[in-house]
Amino acid sequence: MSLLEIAGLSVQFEGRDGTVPVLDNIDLEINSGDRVALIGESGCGKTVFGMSVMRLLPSNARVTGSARYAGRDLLLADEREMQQVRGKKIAMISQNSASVLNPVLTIGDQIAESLTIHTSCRGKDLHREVIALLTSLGIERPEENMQKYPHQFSGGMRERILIAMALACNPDLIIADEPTSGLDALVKAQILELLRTVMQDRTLLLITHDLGTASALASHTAVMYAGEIVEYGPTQELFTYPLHPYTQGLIAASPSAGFHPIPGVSPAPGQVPPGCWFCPRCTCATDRCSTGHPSLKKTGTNRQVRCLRYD
Amino acid sequence: MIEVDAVSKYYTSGFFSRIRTYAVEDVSLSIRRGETLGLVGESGSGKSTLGRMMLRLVEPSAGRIVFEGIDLRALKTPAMRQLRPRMQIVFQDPDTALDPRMTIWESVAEPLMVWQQGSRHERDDRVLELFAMVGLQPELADRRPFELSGGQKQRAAIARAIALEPEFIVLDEPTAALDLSVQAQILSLVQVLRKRMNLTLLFISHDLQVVEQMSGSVAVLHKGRIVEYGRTADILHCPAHPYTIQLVEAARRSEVWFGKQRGNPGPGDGAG
Repeated sequence: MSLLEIAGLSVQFEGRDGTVPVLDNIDLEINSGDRVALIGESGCGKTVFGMSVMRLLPSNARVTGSARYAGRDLLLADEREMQQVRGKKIAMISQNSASVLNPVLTIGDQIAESLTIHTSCRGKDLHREVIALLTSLGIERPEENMQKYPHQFSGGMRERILIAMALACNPDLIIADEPTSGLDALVKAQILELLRTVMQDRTLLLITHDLGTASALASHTAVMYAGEIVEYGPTQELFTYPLHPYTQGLIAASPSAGFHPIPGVSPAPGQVPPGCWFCPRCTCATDRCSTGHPSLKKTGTNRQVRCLRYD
Repeated sequence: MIEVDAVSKYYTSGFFSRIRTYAVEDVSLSIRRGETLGLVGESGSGKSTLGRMMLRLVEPSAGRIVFEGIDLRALKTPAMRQLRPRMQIVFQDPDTALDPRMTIWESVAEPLMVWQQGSRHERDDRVLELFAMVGLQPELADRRPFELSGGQKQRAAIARAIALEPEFIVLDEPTAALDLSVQAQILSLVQVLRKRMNLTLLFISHDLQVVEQMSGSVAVLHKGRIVEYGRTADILHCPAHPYTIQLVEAARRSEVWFGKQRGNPGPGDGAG
């Protein structure tokens, strides 16, 4: 059953020098129980995508298309409706745990916040709930630690706290934006293990540039390049038989494949080349690639790819 | 080439009793000319402090650092200054490493200006050459750091580090702030430059897979002490210290996840 259905989502930012397109015509369907990874390089629009669904973009963002959740288009919802959705129905684990936590509130208060807003849980029950959350995320001595402030925790611990905050109201969908970036190799492995456990029966939209994180967590993966989806499919199939040259390049650049880099740089927003946007960096580009812009085509039962070679 | 002998760095605190907190404790290692030593450890283990002490950017509290037979700690400031062009550093975060008010051209040309290398024309030619060496387009020369991507900034920082043709470079987590695909580009750039300029490198990282790719030998730092030191292949094959074992297991586990998802095709497979 489709939980969140995004269709034709485009985002442009209005600036002094005109509008800059950031996301172009994104279609993505997340079914209940799916764990979908959205992978791509910095600046490709992954984070903007997550924020647009949560309606957290600044006022100069022009968002078109639709994001249907439980029969309602979130893009048309007013602020009051959105407040009922955020945290309760769809929760977010934001990037950069050091700056998203409030430095002057104890972490116990911060975890309790969404419970206080969205549920009738108060007093002793609330206290018990927070302790249970901290315990389930492997934070020792929860009684003592819930009285502490964010700066008293390491990066890995702060990440656990963010996950606890997202899980607090038992939301239908969790959007996790780079949950493992900035962490040490060892801590990263621990957080991945933890996420694997707590996300087992949940619906997840995972935003990451790390193929390892995506393969550890996601059932489906969408690859984004320069603001559009270039490939989509079940994670295992997609990593075993990548169709798009960009996906193939990303895999070759990963540690276990020996760091073979993709030549060139991704285009800046609004400066995409004519034809296929990946064409200047593509090793298999032909003449027609620089003229015709490919559409996202279905190949096989559950796979989509945006490349002229599969037309 | 460079030898570190029983080096410590501690910070004292307390008013009545002096309490010593060790950042680096009794570390000895050596790097031969043209070799790359990987330095691995978690955040706070003292890797950056050690790297900086090897360039005497942080003053060691005890021990000796010998560069090409010269004891760095015995040098007075002017003599140390004369040695500086031969040793350089590339920092982790290219955002804070480059002066935001300078254009990329100015940043790369700065060491040449400071050391009065050649005429203005010769300097300009040299900067262009450096741009080409690190793969920066000349059109970017007049941009300022905020107008560049993370990978481009790191290329500029590398160009600045190699401007004076140093012999020894400390690379302090040069790819930690970068995407995996950009990381691959920067790592292969470092490899190319290392061969071309016969550089001696200290490569600091928390990522074993990166170090495995970059260096033949590795030192593992844990809480300021070296807990393992030897050939990278040996240590990866049979780690001895509990911390290294955990590190190797974590790396293997992520490989297993990735491998399981991926099967085992070479890059470029599945092309139509």
